[in-house]
Amino acid sequence: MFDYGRYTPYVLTSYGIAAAVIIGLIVWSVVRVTNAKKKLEAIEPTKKDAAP
Amino acid sequence: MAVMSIFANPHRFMAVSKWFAWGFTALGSVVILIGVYLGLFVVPPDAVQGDSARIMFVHVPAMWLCLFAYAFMVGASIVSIVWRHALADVAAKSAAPIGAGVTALGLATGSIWGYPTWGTWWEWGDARLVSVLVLFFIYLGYMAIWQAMETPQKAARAAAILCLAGAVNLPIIHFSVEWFATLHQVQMKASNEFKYPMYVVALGYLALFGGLTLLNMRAEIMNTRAEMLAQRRQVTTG
Repeated sequence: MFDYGRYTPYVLTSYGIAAAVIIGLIVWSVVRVTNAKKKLEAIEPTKKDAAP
Repeated sequence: MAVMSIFANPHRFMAVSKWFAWGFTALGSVVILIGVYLGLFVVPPDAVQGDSARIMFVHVPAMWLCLFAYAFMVGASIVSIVWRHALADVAAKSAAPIGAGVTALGLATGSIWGYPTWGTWWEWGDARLVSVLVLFFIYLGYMAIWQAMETPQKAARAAAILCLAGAVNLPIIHFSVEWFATLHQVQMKASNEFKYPMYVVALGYLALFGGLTLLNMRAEIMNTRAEMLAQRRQVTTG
């Protein structure tokens, strides 16, 4: 399925790094916005427009 | 100008941006997956570079996006300095980690692609490689300034000035392969079957950049508001 001859390790490593960076950026952003929402709700619990 | 004044109010921005932030993030993720599928399974090997050319589909759009993200930050910094728009600094600050991540991705995949093509992982004499590395350090410096300054106002001003100064590097990166005879090849004349997956991934990266920047802007605004309310509470109780 993933057979690219002698280039297989280079191609798969590149796509693996791309997946790691992209998933990392998404998870980091989602965690950041979720924590910020919790922090704000702890101080301002009734504010509805604070949802991410 | 009209759009700028609409979003000068953070409350209005928070109301409007919520669905765009999650929508662009989801759309970008799906489009990237489609592009990667095309790049790995549909496109045939390149006539010259063989299967190693498949690295192009994650490398080239990453390089486009790291330049676009920095240009976006330059635009936001100009808006911040000239009009003192409330959200311009937040936009630039939120885009910086995404730009830095994508630049690191471009450098790593470029290095991996370089080894089977040029026979080396890195070449210090190559203007394109070094100028992109400089861009990565400018991103890191920009983020460090936000952490280092005493007040957010001082940090915003210093970061905006650094960002504008660093803009000199954008044309150097773009034209480096024409100005200097170095290892990195000039822009490839790719066939349509190679161009389309590359454009699909580039669109996905762009949508994801928009979504993640909006998410980080929302986090920044909520953190600022929470800190402001906490300080106000301290003053009233103290």
